[in-house]
Amino acid sequence: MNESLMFQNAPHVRQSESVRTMMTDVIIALVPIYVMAFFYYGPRALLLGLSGILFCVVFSAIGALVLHEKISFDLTPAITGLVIPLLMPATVDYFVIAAACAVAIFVVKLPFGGTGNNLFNPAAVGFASAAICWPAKVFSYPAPLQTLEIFGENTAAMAQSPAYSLALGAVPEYEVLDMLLGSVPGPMGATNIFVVATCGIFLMVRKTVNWITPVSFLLPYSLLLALFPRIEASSFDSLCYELFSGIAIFGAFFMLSEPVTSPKRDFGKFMAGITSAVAAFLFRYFGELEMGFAYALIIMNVFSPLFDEICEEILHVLRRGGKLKKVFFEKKPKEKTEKEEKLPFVRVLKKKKAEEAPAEAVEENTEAEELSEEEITEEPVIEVSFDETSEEEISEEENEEQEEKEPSEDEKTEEEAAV
Amino acid sequence: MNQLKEKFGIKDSLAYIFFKNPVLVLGLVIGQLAAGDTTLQNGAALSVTYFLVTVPVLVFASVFGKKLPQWLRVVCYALVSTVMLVPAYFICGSFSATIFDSLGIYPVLLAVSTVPIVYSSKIAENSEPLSALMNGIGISLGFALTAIILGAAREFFGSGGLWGFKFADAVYPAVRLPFWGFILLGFMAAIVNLISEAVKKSEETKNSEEGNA
Repeated sequence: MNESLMFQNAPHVRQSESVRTMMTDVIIALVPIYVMAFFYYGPRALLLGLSGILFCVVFSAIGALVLHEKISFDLTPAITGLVIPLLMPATVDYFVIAAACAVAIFVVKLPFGGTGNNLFNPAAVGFASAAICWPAKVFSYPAPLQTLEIFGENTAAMAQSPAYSLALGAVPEYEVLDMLLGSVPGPMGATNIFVVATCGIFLMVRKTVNWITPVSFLLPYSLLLALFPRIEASSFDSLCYELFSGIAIFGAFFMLSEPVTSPKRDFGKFMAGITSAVAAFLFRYFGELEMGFAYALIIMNVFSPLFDEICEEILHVLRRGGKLKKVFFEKKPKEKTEKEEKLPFVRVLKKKKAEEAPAEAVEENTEAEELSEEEITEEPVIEVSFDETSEEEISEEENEEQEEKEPSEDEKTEEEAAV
Repeated sequence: MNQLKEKFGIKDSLAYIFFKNPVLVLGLVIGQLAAGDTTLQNGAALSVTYFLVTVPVLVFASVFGKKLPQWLRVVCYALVSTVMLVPAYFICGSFSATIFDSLGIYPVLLAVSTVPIVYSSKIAENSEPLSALMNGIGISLGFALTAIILGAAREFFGSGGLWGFKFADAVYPAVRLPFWGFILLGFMAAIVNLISEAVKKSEETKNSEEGNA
């Protein structure tokens, strides 16, 4: 086999980088966030991350064994395992992480063909399912700067997250600077805005994340938040509170930009970013759950192939001209071929022949006749009356063809005489 | 025996239980099951309802179908199936007084689903009453098998009990939500597909071995 021509699933990399280096970059970018979580909540935060990796890798291996596939050592399950705990509070139980990882691997990843084939972001679906199952555990946040117990019952002091206050229509009691530094209750990976943004910029500089996706998401999202504040504060204050609470910034860099589930073309990424921003805003504005971003992302993942198709069509038009009909307009109905048009005539002829045939033969083919009669009465095309002449003409033509193909008895006798 | 089976359509009707399962293979009434079949009792109630709305309609279609004018047939089938909801209500009420009410619109949706309306007018009309009866029973059994397994699994994992008796804590409450119903049905369909493929392969190897012999 020619190695220069290979079929490979997304993400497609055309540089010296490989999928492995990209995934390594993401892991490197996630490490400072875990360090900050360790600073705020103690070793439990790190252990949650490690357990997430362990669960995802083990579940992937089990899946590969069940499907009789070779166990691959790619880093994508590890990233899923690292991202899921960062969306949850540091007090969350280990079994919640396990359940979220199981959903991410067994429901989102493996049934669709494993790495590079998943339709939805595994971490987003894992988090969303855990949030639906155990909202009390997933949306109860410990106050920062306290060391949590690694195992056993949670005895940490809990506090109200800014996102919850905003959902109630109240102004959060925290300073904007505290929110930027992450010393507010919330998901252990999403509150450190400075660190998250820095890690995101690192990924963009490394070109692991295309800048179009986070920028096209964050700008319209910020604009919508500023235009429609939920609290009685200035637009800027409202924007800061809304933007720095929740998982939108973390999600923009680490979930929305995932190469498999996001569109492949730049224009598609741009469209996906804008629509995701609108969806996330709507979930935040009208939804009951605090972290509507995950649900918005799941919904927008469905449209990624459509964005790619639209983008492809627009680019095609821009390059070669023509009309936008493949995506925006319905295709024209397929015209009938000559054979299909002749079909009713053939049926009528068959029926006529069957009527002329002897009674015994008719009795043998009663079932076939019934079917053909029903078909003829049901189909509107056949209801069109045919001229007797046209049928006769056809039968005459057929007879002529047969005569041409088969020599008559006189001709046969002449040939025999000649021989 | 085989001739008898073929004559009365028993072979085909048995296939509807597993290899041509109406839900997992033919993809019928998925929505009703995913949304309504959250407990074992719900599964049983939906199974009884489906049996009662399907079998009489198919028999009715095979006996009277061709005697009725074309435009009236579907109306009559829908009428028969919805009338059969009344006995279904009383039978389901015998094992739980509120089960039929708690199921909401789903029993009614079963009464006007694909099999009572479309299957009866396309296939049952042209078959003999006994064959239609056997097909109806087969389809209903296939549906019941799926509904009961799905309902039991969702009740067990979603609320830690079976048939209303709770004996453990809920393992995964979200299983009772409709989207998990769809996911579980997808997994069940995959399992059925896997088994069907395995059976097909073994039959093919058997046939080839016999041919070689």
